Amino acid sequence: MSFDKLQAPPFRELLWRGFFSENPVFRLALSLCPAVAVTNSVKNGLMMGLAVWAVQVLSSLTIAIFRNFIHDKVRIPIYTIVIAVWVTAMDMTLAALAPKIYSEIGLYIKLIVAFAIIISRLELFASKFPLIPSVLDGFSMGLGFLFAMVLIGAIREVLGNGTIWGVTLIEVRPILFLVLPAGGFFTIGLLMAALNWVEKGRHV
Amino acid sequence: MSKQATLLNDHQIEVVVTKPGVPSPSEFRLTSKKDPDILIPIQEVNVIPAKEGGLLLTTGVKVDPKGSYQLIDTRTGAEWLMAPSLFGVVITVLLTAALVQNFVFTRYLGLCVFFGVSRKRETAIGMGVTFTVVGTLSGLLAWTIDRFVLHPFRLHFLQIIVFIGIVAFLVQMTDTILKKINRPLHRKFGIYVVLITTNCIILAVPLLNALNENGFWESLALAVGSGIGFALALFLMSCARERTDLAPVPSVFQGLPIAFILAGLFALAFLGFSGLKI
Amino acid sequence: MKEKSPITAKEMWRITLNLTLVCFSAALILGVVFNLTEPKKRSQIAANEKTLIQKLLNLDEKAKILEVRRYLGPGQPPTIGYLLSDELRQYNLDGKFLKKWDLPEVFQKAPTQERDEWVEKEFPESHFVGRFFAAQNPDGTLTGYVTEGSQYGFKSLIRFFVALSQNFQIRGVEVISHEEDPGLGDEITKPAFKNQFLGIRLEDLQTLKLTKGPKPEEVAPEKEKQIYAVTGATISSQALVDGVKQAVWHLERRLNVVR
Repeated sequence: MSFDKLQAPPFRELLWRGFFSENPVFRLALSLCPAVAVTNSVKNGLMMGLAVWAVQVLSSLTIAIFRNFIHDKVRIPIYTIVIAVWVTAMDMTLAALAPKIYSEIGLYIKLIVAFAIIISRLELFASKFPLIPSVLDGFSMGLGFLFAMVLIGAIREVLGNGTIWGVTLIEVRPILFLVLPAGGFFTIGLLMAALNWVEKGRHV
Repeated sequence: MSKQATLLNDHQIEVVVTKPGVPSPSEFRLTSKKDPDILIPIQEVNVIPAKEGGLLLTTGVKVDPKGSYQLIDTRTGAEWLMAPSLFGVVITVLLTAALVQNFVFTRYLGLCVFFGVSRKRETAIGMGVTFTVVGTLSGLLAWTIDRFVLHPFRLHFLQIIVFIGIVAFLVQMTDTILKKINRPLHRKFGIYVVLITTNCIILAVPLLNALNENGFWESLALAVGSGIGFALALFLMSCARERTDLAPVPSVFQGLPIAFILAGLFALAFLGFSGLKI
Repeated sequence: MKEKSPITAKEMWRITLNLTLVCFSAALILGVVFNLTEPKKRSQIAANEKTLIQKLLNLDEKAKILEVRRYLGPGQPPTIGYLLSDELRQYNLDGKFLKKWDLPEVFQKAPTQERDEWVEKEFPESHFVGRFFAAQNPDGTLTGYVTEGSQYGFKSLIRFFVALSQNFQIRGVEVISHEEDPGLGDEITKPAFKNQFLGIRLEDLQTLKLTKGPKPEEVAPEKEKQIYAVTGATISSQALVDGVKQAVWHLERRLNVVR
């Protein structure tokens, strides 16, 4: 393969992609399940975001180290196993260290393994580039996901519950609907539209 | 063991006894399967005139109409078991998974694929059917392996890796078999089969089965129910999206944003099912 | 994967080696992580439960918390085993004492899992079904009880602790885990709802009712005790009321047996 000759993009470019132009949630619309399900508070959103971030970085790291060893024909199963290992490890660590939060988001932590975003970063990036850029790519993408999770969580918690990080900001609940199950869909839809609007404004 | 005892509601039991006469409440022994050491008090015993030997027992505390109970007539030693029928349990699990706790609209699983393939009605149906079939197979295979290998050997920490392996294996197998046996069918459904790996519902079903220690029929019902629920969600969504494609949607909302708003509306509508008692 | 080049024998070996190595190291890594985190997880849960019980019963550090574990044995009718701090007792369903085993010294301070394994050996085919806690002053007097209960709520099982004083007055109710909807059903975990249980006596529990709608500002003194449901979450509220009733009732019966 001639991919090794490809020039890896600089870190700033990778970060920009992760946060905005290729944001996993708002732009690629991948790994949406937790983005809707566990973002009814900042704490849960942050925890989930951190877990995905860690799994992404660790998987990118592993694949980048062993990329010359992995046979091309079985690369997808191997990626899956690598992700599953890190997810299970993350799952057990969280269960041991933060049982309270784990009882709320445990199922979704386990389901990280089916996230298209992680395997697509491995296939598109980590299998082609050396160690450092691969880790930086995983780092940026994971951070972009984390950012989206915390943003949605913050909006839903403040507007829906009147609190942030469990601390009461406003006595009343302005829009209780937002912490309800369906509120997650609306929040993401509106945020996507807002992002479109901002971008449109920039190009005009 | 006779079967003529039924739980009418949360405090009444109808039973047909062979010995004539009206027994006193203390001559019955009512216990739940879960707590056999706790006697459930019976407040009064009334005769049902229309039925020979028919008695109506009123319990002193609430009983669970969906629970299993044992009733003994201490005069004759006759024993009755009251348990929900297998069919009832299966239907309950199935409808719960499909409607009340729809995997897409109330558990928010499988969203990536959901938004990806719900643009056209035709693809939605294709994906729904394929997913239900493969999901059922993988649910059963995963249940078997979990029950007979992982559980006895205390290997539950390998659950995730084993379940994803099963899914990958089944997807590959279905794809190959379909290609060999029925080419036209493969041309139509092959693409959906490959997409199944990234649908988290297929992984959530065995994980939930393992977590709740479901038996064979419950696992089967959950797998089928989740498939039907997913297919239903896809179909509804695709119908709505085909219409929004023709509607004058504001430009910043075109594409995914309006789809999310639609999904939110559907989720609200499905909230209406949740009061449903099956 | 698309290219249809035939696989040579050498490649075949590499693929096999690849997959074997990956699977082997995956299982190895997970085994190690599991063995590292599992004890930590158990001790963390046990520590959290201890703090919760201390908080509910308002205990100081010196008070001892005894755990009583209940096992359901085989047979028709089955037998019941109670594991106390130093012995395992077997009773029949009517509460008649049958047999007892002394718990060896090494197991008395051992983690729950090891004690369960010991019970499994001594009392074959039995399985753990429930537990409660009793708090004891350093001088040996009992000061209160905490029992664990569960009830099917709106979406799935609600697990909770109920704390009772020595004379069976509710000292507190705490939801341990639930899957009720945020903003609706999960309001049952908030003090505004769960504190309504405080001070309710055993004799009031029988007639305890759930009233729809939020608590009015001024409550007229009433004969019957009642709990005001969370608005929009009557089923969750009802589930917790039913669950608490049942848990306390069962605890009372079982304490009479084990005491």
